[in-house]
Amino acid sequence: MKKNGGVIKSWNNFKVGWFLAVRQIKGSSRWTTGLIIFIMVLTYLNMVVISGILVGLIEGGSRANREQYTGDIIITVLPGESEIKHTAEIEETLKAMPVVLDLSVRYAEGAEIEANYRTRRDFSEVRDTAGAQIVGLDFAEEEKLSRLSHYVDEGENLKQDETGYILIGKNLLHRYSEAFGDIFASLDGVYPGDRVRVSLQGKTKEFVVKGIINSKVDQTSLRAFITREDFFRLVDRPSLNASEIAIRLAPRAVPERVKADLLSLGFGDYGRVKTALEAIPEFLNQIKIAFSLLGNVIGLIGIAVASITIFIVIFINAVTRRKYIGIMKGIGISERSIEISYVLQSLFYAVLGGVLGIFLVYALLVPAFLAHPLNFPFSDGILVAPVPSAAIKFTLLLIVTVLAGFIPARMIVKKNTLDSILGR
Amino acid sequence: MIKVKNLEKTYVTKDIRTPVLRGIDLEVAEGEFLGIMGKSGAGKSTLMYQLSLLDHPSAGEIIIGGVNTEALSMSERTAMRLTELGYVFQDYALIPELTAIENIMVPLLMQNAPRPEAVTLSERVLKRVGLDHRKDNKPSQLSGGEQQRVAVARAVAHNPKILFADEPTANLDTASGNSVIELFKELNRGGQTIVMVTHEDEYAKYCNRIIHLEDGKIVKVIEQKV
Repeated sequence: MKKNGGVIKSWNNFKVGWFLAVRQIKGSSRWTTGLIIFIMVLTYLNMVVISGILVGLIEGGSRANREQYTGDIIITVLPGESEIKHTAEIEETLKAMPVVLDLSVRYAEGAEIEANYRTRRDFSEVRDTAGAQIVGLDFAEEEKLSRLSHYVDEGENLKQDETGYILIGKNLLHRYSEAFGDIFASLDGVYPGDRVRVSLQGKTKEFVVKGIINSKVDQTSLRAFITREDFFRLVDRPSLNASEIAIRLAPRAVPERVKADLLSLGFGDYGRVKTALEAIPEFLNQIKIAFSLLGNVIGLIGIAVASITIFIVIFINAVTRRKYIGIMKGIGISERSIEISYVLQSLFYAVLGGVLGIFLVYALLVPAFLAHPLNFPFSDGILVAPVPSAAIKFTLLLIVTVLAGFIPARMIVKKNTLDSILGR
Repeated sequence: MIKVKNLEKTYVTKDIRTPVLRGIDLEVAEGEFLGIMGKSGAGKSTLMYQLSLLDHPSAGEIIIGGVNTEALSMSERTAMRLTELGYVFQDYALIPELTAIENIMVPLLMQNAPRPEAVTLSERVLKRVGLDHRKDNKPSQLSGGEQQRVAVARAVAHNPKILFADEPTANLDTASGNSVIELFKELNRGGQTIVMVTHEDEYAKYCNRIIHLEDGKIVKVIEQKV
């Protein structure tokens, strides 16, 4: 019975608190209310967007890596091996799996590419060469998997039936890679239509550059691509076993589950099966964690500023209304109701600011960043704002705001009623 | 209705003790209209703050409706102020962002009255003080006299046992002051117990009994027929 009475009393306190809060908000200056809500929006954006962009720089790289190189799952050569054994059987099995949408079987070998040899008059000069992986592709299946043609920046994409042509990754060319300093050995002045020599395993073959691939994924921008047929003409391989198999899965397929299925089929005995996430270099994951932490620290500073703002707003409000708080207490309005009215006001600012912030993030910023990613040397930075994380930050904003509203209200409400009424 | 025994109030600031009430003994009967008079600093308002449970006495007892109020907790005192006492302050003390009717509704809602009932009751009491046409006006849109009448309406809407008024006419012109006192008289005729602090003789004449304070003591009691 007593418990029930307590519930009724609490509900009544809330009702009166609500009644007072609504009228105080309505009665307050629109400019002040707008400014406080604006601060809340900025706080929420600060929490979500800063960390989202920092993580997005890496996430953009990871996404590009998946889209342009690994697919959802990639099978690579086992350590100590030079090829994926039983490639044909693996390929056949994969093509029969409903979850596999596309796959690209790639053949790769380290090679030396030489340019400008025709114009080299002085043979004492250093030859213009660059070490690179030469990758033999079925361009039709690669196009389905990675849309390689979209990254051909100069010239044209290679067609499967063409022979004697090569696509060169941009970082093998000096004019693209000079921004990185001397970390890449690169070729001077190679343009579509120029000829390059590719040497490997003691054999050399001349190719015409068909196009330049402009990608921020190293596995694409530091490689050269030729047709599978040209590859086998150039390379002495005793078998048709591949170097990597990139697999694109159906949209709802779970890569980890498919990977487990592939391992259960024994694929792990012939190649390393990795999901796109596992195939990301470890340092990128470390950067992602560091950036995420950094973003959260910046977000926490933002939330501290917002909570201080709310504290000051409520404190000033409560101090200037101390007489009326005293009168309300004097005529029997419970302290709890008055406190609730201030907490509800704070919540109003936080909820409105947070909801506006969420709207801006998902309706404006995320699509905008997807359409126009930040141009970074190693990735196209996007805004990563996963819903659970955004929801947690929204909740955090509410909790902090409730405290920032409650504490100053409590401080003033607790003061002696008569002193408040008389302004002592 | 009210029994006061040996009431004392001393304000202490650092080492300075300022006795304001010195052994007040008083009884207020149900339906009585008591006036408290005295010069400035005599302790009139201090006495009313103690009687109306807005402050704690330094010594003595205040018994309201048989309840020793000094034995009550803070929340019990608040509840008693809400349900059994009504207040009219000198400066009206209406909540500025609430309309006239909302100012009256708040204590009713606090007493768990359903909202429609609180509205009806507030409208009724506003009509009684002649301000039903001003119910949606905020205090800033009302004259001093109108504000004080709203304050009276708020004080009596929940039918309190005792109505306390601290110089309710001090900030009003004569006409407004008269209308407020007339309102008090009408309430008192209806059986409302009223304790009013005033320093104006012309309003004191409406009281059944007047106590004069001097230096924290009751020095004179005047019974009068109204």
